[in-house]
Amino acid sequence: MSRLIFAALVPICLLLSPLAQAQIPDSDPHTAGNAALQYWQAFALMPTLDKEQEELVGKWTTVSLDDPQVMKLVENSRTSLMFLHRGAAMANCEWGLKYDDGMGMLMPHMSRARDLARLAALRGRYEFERGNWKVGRNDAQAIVTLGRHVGREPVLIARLVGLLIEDLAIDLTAPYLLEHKAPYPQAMAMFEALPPAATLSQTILVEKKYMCQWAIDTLKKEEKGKAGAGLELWKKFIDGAKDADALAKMDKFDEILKRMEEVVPVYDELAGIAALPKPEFDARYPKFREQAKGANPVVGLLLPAIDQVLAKDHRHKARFALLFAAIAVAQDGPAKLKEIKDPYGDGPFEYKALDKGFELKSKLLFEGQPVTLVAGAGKKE
Amino acid sequence: MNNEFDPLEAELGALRPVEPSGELAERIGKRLHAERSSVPRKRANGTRSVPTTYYWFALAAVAAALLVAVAIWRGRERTPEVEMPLASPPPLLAFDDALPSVWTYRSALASPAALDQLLDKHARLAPPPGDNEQTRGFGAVTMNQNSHLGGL
Repeated sequence: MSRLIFAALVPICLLLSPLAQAQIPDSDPHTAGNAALQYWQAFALMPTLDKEQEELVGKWTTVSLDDPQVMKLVENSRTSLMFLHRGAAMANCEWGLKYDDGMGMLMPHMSRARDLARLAALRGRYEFERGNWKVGRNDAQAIVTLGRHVGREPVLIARLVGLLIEDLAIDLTAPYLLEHKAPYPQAMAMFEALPPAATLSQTILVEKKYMCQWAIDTLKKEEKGKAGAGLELWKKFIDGAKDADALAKMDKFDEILKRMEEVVPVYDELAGIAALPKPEFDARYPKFREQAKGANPVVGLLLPAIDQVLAKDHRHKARFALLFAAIAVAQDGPAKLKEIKDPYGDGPFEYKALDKGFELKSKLLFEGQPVTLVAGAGKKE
Repeated sequence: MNNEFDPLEAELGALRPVEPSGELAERIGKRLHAERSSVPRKRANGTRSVPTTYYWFALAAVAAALLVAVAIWRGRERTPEVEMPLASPPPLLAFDDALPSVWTYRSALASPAALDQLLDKHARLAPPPGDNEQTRGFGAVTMNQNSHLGGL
């Protein structure tokens, strides 16, 4: 009888063994997982900030690093930052967003990611000030990667928060360039290996499919469920809008729906314009927007202000170009600038020596001012 | 209890077993022979051979295991097709500025200061990470409990 049981158990065990093996976690530090899961562990382990600590983190570039509160904050962030680094080592990042929720889609990771990046920047500065260049550089790299991972979602606001986070790494690194002398080729290689963020054209098409279309479908569904409910929901859409008065004049549900459906193809045109080089975009966009808004007031309500997003995008690109140019200057002197072209001008960046460090200036204007970067002003004597 | 000599008892005491007939002995002998022939014979090395019925049992077990494997495999294949009844948020939720929805953030697209303010607001609204008060299960893990780690 025991032979019978054995004969029956062997094939069953053989079949089930791969399933059992799949439950055993891999002990190697893997880089192929989902970075978002690591980031969420980092968020969960972030120190709880009181009002005063919130202010300290917000002013991470200027707070005194000898302040016991700051030192405590840096110490209490270590576990959380360990998970930030684990996430940043992974190429893939899936935040698990539910695009079908349309404009109601929640993105609770964004505020947490910004705060985590600020904590990392504070710790990075703390380490740079103590001459721990490698730790500081790793923090800066993890911040940039987190920014890319946030910005990989093709949603405009995710893209903006991604840029905001990446900018923290520039603010962290630039003041210490003269001391730690990061090698230019190594810095460029790191930058080029970063995970790509979503393009602006991609985000516009996602806006069309999941935001504009969601608004149309939701209004229809509400009206179908209860007569008048669609119109009530429409009032929520126009509440606080720039052209609220003009939009409020549209009080027939069918007319509202027709106007909204007319906006859908405008997104395709906008995506095409957003992909143009900056001079062409600047030349075509104002006219396009004016015409589209003139023809249909709902355009102003639904179509995002792409010009403002793109302006921040260009500023960000210029700042990174300035940072790499500053790395090259810190390594080989100002003469090196002749080899590096300002992506928004015809020649190299402008150089100005300061009492401590130097300033580089791009031809790109942001809010009427040239985009600049001050390098080498950080370390205390 | 009756101590008197019972005639029935006397009659029963006189009874003697009858010798089995030759026919009965022959039938029992045949039956024993037949049963012995169905018992597995010892092989030359002393082990008994497994009857064919047991092989059928083993074969049935393998077939059952294969069926289980096919069922698991097909079940896995079909998983994405299963539509779970997911709850969708009510449309009005999109306009609740206490929540980090796409609609709420749209208002902050134009201004970096507005975006920072909104991010600050949503960061404050998130439950504090240190608040690990537990209302069910085995209670929150404390430092004392952690100190037992590795104790085994």
